[in-house]
Amino acid sequence: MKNGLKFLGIIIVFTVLYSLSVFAGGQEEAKTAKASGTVTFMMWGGATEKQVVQGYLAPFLAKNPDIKVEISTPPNYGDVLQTMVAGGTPPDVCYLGFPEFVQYLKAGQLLDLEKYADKSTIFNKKDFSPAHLASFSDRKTGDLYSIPKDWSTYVVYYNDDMFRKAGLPSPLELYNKGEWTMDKFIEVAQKLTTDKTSGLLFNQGRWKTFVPYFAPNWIKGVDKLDVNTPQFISAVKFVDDLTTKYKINPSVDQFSDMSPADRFSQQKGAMYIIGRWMTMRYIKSDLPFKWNVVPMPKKNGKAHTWVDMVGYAVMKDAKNPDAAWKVIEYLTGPEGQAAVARSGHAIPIRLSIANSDIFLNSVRPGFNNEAFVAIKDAAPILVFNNFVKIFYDTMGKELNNVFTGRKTAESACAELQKKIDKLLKE
Amino acid sequence: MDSDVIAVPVGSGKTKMSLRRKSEIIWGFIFVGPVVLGILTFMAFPTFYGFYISMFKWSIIGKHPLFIGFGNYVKLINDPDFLKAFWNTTVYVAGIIFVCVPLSLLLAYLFNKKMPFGETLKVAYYLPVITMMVAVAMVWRWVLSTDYGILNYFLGFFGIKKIAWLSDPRWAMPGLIIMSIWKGVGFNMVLFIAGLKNIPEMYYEAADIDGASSSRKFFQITLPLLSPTTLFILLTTMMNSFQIFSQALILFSGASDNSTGAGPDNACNTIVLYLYNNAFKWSSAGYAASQAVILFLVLVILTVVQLKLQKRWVHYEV
Repeated sequence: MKNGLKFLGIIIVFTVLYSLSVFAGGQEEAKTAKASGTVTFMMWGGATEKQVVQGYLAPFLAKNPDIKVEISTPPNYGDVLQTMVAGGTPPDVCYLGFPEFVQYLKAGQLLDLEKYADKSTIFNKKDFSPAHLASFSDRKTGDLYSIPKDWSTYVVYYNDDMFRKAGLPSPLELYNKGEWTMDKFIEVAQKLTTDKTSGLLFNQGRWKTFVPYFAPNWIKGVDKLDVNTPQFISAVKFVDDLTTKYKINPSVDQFSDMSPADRFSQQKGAMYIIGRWMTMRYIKSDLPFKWNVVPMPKKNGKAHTWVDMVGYAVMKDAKNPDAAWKVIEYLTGPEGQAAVARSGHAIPIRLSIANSDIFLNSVRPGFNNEAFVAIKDAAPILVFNNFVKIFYDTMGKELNNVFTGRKTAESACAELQKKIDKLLKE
Repeated sequence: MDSDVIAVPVGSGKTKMSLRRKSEIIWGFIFVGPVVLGILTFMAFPTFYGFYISMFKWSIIGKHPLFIGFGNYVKLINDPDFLKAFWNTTVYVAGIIFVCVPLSLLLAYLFNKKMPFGETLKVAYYLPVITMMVAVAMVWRWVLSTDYGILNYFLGFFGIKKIAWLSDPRWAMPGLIIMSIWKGVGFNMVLFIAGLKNIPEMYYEAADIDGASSSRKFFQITLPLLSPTTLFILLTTMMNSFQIFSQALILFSGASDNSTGAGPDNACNTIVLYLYNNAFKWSSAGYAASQAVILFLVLVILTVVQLKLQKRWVHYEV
């Protein structure tokens, strides 16, 4: 009996001491959370891009010693972000592209940044493209729920050495003369296609690049896509014709063996249509040939390109929204954007910086940065970005049947329209 | 007299446990407690919660799930993509069971005999088992490459034209099965070897005395006495094969249709892969949960059927 009471007494004392320590620690933690301004920042890109962003933030952190930024770059970014949000522990700031931005916006997980933007002396809406801001705004209220961080347009990367060896003018020379048209583009690609090399490298999965050339009005409002039209079918056929009719582009099967990016770096292709993000990869790879970039060719006097964008979002349940806004405000402000321009990784989102020498003379002397901003009215297809990932995957799968010869463009587009209409009803 | 029971007056009808017995029981619970807690937390609770989620329309990141009862199950029955995934999974399971299991038995039978480099070959066959699936799938993307793959290279010696393993819907599933067999045959082989070593030699000696042929000994002695091991391998192989996911995802990721790892024309879309895409890519966690429930029920039914049928062909003792 005595031993039992003694044992019980020891348990009670330890429990009280433990509780006191937890309480005290909690108080200390509460005090610390208010004062530290730690911002959890989640991004993709791995260690390399993390280092780049840390570089961007260094001057900001030096000026704001009360704010700390903890950057994480999880490998399966999308899955990890979803899990953290579902588990109630979201990061304060994260990258969001499309269609993820729409998914999180519809789920009510994003913080309205409009009031922050209105009060800010650094954030200047006039220095942003209205289309870029609209992409990251609520479709009904127009409030900003994310700030675009940078953008990328598709251009034509070309192997200058291959053109010289074939005795052909380079795409940049043709562009400067005003002769860079779709017909010329196909003509030079055919001349550069041999048994071992392709005149063009274009991933059929990026078919949407060519749609505006044939069907600029395929999106009929916020909730309607028209894909079973002669114009859209022509666009799909054109992408397929690059392989089957003009014979300048490898097939889907051939790309499964080696990607377009690898083919270009190994000089198995003369031209490669892709976005800005490949620029620094090729610079760092120190490709053993001369290369440059040029805008997409014109058809009927007009060039089109695809625009990709990513934004900084603050989660609604962020622990430190005020400090998170300060970080975003800096990164999308003049200083932060100048750093983005100098690094060469992306096109600055601020128009004044994107059109300045800071960006246009970046990367290396002679590199044609102007190609990325040449198509002045290039804008993300806003309403397309409304649709969630299942639309992208459904469209990609159905159209892949055309590019692999399993279906005609007509039958695939008819089937695709039915699938899209069914998804829209759900 | 039993030390666990203390005698009490006649007519009371009660026996009293000793303090030692009570102590043993309490310590028993303390030792199994953490494991039971782990099973309840990480297996039982998620299973029941999965049933619960399957009754909602919920986007995993959404804050307001909508109760729809069995609506997800009704949608499943009418979903051609799910039905195709179910069929693909069944084909995959059949391919593994009817090819991998007999092949591993054959290898085990050969390696159970003394042969030159036998131990080295056993290790060679087992190495893929302990290699990470991610690494295996990435290497096999090259092995199955149409123009550069070594599989097509060797098939060329037999006059077989290049097969588009990764982009032709007719060959994508066979390619996936071949890769999975290469990865898994060693594991079953080791289990069969263990089973073969448990068969007493005296039966073979008696059969030799009676003049039985090798094939007779195999079918009349080896197979029946190996049946408990075979049952175990069939059950585990079936359960693992029905849950195929990472092999298909990695093998077919990066395809030109920006696909979800389902292969050309969904040729390798499996139940778990479709479930994963619904939950994490298409924000339909409730619908994904209903697929998980269906998979669970299918596995339970197949396991029960196998266990009932085992009475006819499994011999636990001679």
